[in-house]
Amino acid sequence: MKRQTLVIAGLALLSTNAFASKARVEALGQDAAHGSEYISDSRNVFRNPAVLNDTKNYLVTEWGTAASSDSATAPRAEGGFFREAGSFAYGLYLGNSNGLDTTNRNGTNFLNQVNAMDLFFAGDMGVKWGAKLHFASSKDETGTFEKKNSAFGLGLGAVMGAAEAYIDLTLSDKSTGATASASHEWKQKPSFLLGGSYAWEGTTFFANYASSKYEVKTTSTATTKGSAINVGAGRTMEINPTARIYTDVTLKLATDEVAAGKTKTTKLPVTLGVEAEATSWLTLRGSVSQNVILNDTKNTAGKKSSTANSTDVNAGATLNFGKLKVDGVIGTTDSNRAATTAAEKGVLATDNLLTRVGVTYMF
Amino acid sequence: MKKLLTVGTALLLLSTSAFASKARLQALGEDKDGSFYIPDYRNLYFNPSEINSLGNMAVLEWGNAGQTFGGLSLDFDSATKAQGGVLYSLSNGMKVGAILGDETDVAALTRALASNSLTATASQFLQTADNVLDVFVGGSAAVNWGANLLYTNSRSEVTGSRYKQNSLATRLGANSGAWNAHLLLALGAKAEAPDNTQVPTYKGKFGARVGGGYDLSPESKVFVMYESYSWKQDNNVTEEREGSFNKGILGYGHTKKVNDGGSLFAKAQVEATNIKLSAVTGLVQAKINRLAIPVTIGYEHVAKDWLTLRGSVVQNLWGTVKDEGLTANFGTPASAADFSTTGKTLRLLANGRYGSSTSGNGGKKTLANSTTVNAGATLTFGSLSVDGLVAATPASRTGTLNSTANTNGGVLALDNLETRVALTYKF
Repeated sequence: MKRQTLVIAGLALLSTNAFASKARVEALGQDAAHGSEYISDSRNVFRNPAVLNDTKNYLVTEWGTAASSDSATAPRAEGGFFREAGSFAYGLYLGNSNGLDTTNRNGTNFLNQVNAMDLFFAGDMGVKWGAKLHFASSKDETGTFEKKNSAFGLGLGAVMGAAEAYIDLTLSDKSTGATASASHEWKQKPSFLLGGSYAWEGTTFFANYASSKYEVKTTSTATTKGSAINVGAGRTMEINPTARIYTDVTLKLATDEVAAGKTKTTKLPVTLGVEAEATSWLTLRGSVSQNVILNDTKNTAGKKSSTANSTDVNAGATLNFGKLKVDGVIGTTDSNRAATTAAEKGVLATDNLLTRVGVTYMF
Repeated sequence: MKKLLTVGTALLLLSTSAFASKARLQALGEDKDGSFYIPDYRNLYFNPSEINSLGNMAVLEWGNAGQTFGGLSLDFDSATKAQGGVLYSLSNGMKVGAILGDETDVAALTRALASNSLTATASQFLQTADNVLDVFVGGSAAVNWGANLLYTNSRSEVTGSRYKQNSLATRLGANSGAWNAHLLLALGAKAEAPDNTQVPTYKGKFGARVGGGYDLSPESKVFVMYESYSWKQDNNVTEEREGSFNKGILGYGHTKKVNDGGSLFAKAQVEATNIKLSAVTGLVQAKINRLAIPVTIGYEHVAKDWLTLRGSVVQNLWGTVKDEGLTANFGTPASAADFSTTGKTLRLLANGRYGSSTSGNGGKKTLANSTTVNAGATLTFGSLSVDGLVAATPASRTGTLNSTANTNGGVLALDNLETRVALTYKF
């Protein structure tokens, strides 16, 4: 009986860890940038580098364009590899960014964080630990004024049985020189994402706190501060070794502050997801999420408004070719091919079979 | 014989209950919100006691915000609304479920009616019911019973785009042996948009739906349903009005299992719909009276162990519509597009869903070209199924997706393999 349980647990772990992409995480209604707090996915290494101890020996490529920003409809090219070395593990990932992209840097005015590189190192000494170094540097001397960007970040994490703790620090991110003046500057002050989780009776309780601040110095200085608290619980229900149901509920409190005032959001999204191996070569997944009961944004004038149409259905698939997996999102192609942008119109398009594709090779 | 009948019924139930989606019902010529004679999870929205016949399942109807008209959105085939949820059996035998995002067209359209008068445009519509939460519970005692609570509440205090909307409703249902009965009570609904040009307000007065069915045999069923919703609406152009939406259905449905993998469906029903806007004094009353006797013939066949195909043809044996006061109350549309892009919403109701004349000049006419063909398919991967409509894609890929095969020139498109897709997992 014990052996059977172990085998089933092993298979379940294998089936959940076997995928690794932004597409999978998004299709299950989770955070593509940092991974999930409770769903096992190698993308979680960006939240907690200690996860690398359990997800290693693979190479992943996220298809996309050479862009500074990343979104489901316009993905950025990135990828890397993760490998074990004795009782340690290490990894190199190219192209990941911290999310403060062109929008926050006034478009083409300042240099964005480009050609970013993340180095991972992890080990297991009874306590699983991991570290991540993030680095990016670029400059452009071809314009009227020289432009430069440099960024440096550090991530640390630990996994202690059922408990996890992590911190993702942005130590510096600075763009100097702009289209209009050499003295203009975009600068992110030390910012962080701090959190942890504890799995109890099959449910993972989690909490995290994010704080960020950046300044844009032109003829004047504009400061943007942001903070967010997420407290929630998620549960993975193993139906059988090839299928899982995911449920989570998260209280999200966020504040963004600019000179004009503060914008506060209070939301309680509920997510229901499913993932099943349809055949030996095909895994299908999907999720629905919606803000329930709490769904307010209070603007700088103190006026509240609800987020309309917060119901979000996502779906995805993985084509399995042994050690090679092709993940993607499905259902984002409009029935009308004249459209240049993605649209979720309930269409299963076989010409655009998968979008936001990520390919993983396990070795 | 009795055993054969039991096995036959079980197979019938298995084959029909194995799929579950708006797309499936639509392909079989039924209302996407539920059927009175074809088993499907969507029937929960008529009779919550149906939860007792459903196993554990997760369903995801793909889409997004739907077709939006200002703050109002409708679930169109060309722009579906996202929704989904989970139904689950507790260890004590009770069933529970939660479905997110189910927003009915009728509720949206009654608010649309209250949104405008002669000149209002789509941007001036009242906010539709949004972020709807449906909670279901059911169990078996002397009878199978089920209950549902629907809740929606949203608002904006932002100057220039202020609105409020909320509604609360409950559905109750029971079934035992050959009979079933259901009741919906609208416990309250309000919508207002003080910053819209015409300052529209909507307040639900009374809303109820009552109905039931009886199995004449394992294959045939009679059913009846009556629903009535009334409301008060006001704006700064016209005086306060009262609106009402009444609909009654009396029908007979027959399901015939013709082989191990195939079933035929047939239905005939009498539908009477009456939509009315009454001015308290003075203004012309606007109303639509629609009477139709549609006949539906459908099939569902397991073509392969991974593919099930289905389709239907529907046509009115009798169908007339009489309208009055539309132009006087809602203006003359400049073009056919006016019906879906501007505020001629009573006509949109009439034309899009209830087959009224497009002229709006009043009078009675036959519901022309009532023959519609729908088709759908399910891709089955064990416990996982992917339902969708097929043949809704026009030959031109720059054309608008339509709801029925006969409006698209009979194209079987392989690129848009399925539309109005739903993913269902049973566990």
